[in-house]
Amino acid sequence: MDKIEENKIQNPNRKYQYSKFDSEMQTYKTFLRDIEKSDFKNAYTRYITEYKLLKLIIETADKEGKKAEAEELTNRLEQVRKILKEQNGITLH
Amino acid sequence: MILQDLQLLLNAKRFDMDVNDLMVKTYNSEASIANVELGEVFVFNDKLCIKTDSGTGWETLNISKEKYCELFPPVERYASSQGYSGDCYLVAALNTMMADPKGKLQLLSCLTENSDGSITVKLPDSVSEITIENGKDITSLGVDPQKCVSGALGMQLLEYAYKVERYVKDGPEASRICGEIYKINKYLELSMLGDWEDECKELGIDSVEELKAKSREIGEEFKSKYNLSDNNVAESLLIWIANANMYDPAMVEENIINILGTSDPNVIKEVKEYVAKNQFLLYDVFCSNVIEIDEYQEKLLQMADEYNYQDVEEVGGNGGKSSDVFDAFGFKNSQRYDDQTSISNFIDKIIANPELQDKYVITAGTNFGSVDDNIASNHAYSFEIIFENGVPMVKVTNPWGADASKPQMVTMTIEEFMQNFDTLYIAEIP
Repeated sequence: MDKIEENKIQNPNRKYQYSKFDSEMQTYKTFLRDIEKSDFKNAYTRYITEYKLLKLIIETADKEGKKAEAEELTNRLEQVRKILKEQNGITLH
Repeated sequence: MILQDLQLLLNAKRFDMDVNDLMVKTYNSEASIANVELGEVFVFNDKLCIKTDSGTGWETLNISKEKYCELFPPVERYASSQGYSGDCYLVAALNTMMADPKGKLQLLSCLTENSDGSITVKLPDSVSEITIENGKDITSLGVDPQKCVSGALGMQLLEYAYKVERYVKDGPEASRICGEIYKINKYLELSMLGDWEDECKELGIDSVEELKAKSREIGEEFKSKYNLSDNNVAESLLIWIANANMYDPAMVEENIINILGTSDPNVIKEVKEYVAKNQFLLYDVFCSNVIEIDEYQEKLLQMADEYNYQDVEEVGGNGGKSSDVFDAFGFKNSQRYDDQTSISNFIDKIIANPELQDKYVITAGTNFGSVDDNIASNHAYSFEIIFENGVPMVKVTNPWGADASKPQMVTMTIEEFMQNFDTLYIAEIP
């Protein structure tokens, strides 16, 4: 029941309609939390997955007009690109 | 080939010469190139080239002679063997392609030397590329040396570039993960996560008990009104209508029509309005199952966990198809034959016209129960038809290399091959 409690704390004034962006952010945060505990936290596959999730969420943030959030996520996307390049020699087009 | 390279090393020592000059010769006239062996890499007009046809045809490569020798040093260039990773299909395919002059060109064309001496590897039409700094080895890219092919750095880079590209294209599909989690969150949200009091307030219902009773009542009404046979069917209809924006509109419409058994626009309009009006109560009864809500939530949370964890591990190391590798490196019309008739027909075609073999790259796969002790089960091999005293035989090469528990090369009759192998992967050489 941890997640339910967590959700209640995070969203005390929760409305019935979850936006797609909120949902995707929840997915992203859960992914980060879980992957940090796994053996793959520094694997290139982790960063490629994070990259794919970020691209998708940024697109949703843009659609929902969430500029500040989109900017913050774009900064993280650039960090992930940098990590992939420096740590694994990978460039994604 | 390995013996030839050993001879090169001996000659270099004996005559006090640079082995690289013996391995990659320099030619000064086009006429002299006519005598160069197919697939041989050489220098002409200060450029590294590869001989690609029996006349004077050659192609220029994007790396220097020095870099080529660093990436594919003598002996190691022909002694690449699979590491502790389940990528036999990949290593067998790389070895097969490298053994063919045009295949070798296709692989070497993926390599570009940059002005700072670093090497970039990019597969044809790929969305990713990898770069390794000058003088560094594969571990500098975070690659576990145990899990990659042992031998030439060039082969390791090609293997890694393929795995990265495959992960980018076929790894966990972000939109699918988000889509599923969105649906799950929607369920969780609408089933109130235990906040029954909030839902009561929102809907103007006095007590939780009354809310649950109302949900059940609406649920039964929904099923009977639209002639829905059971809760699963009702849930499906609810999901297609309530989450219509997540799917292709044509697919949503088709599913609604299928479930309702009518395409009458008035009925469809009415059911959509009914769902919109009673959405929360319908979710309560069909997606939360009211009475066993805790159990249902647990199930949803488990689903959410599965989507977060899955696939984030070494990709390309858990099996695959050589035909995908051939595709990725720009070979044409790749095919997988996995029935005896197709395999047998293809082999017959090669036996009738042995020159055809030069037009294909081929690997073969075993099933879980190989008959011959010399053949590994559930494994991929390079494949070649040879003729011994005019008798057609199959020679297979194990990507595990020479030091493994099974022989590296096995020659067998066609019948023996058919008993041990159940798949052929082929592609046309471009």
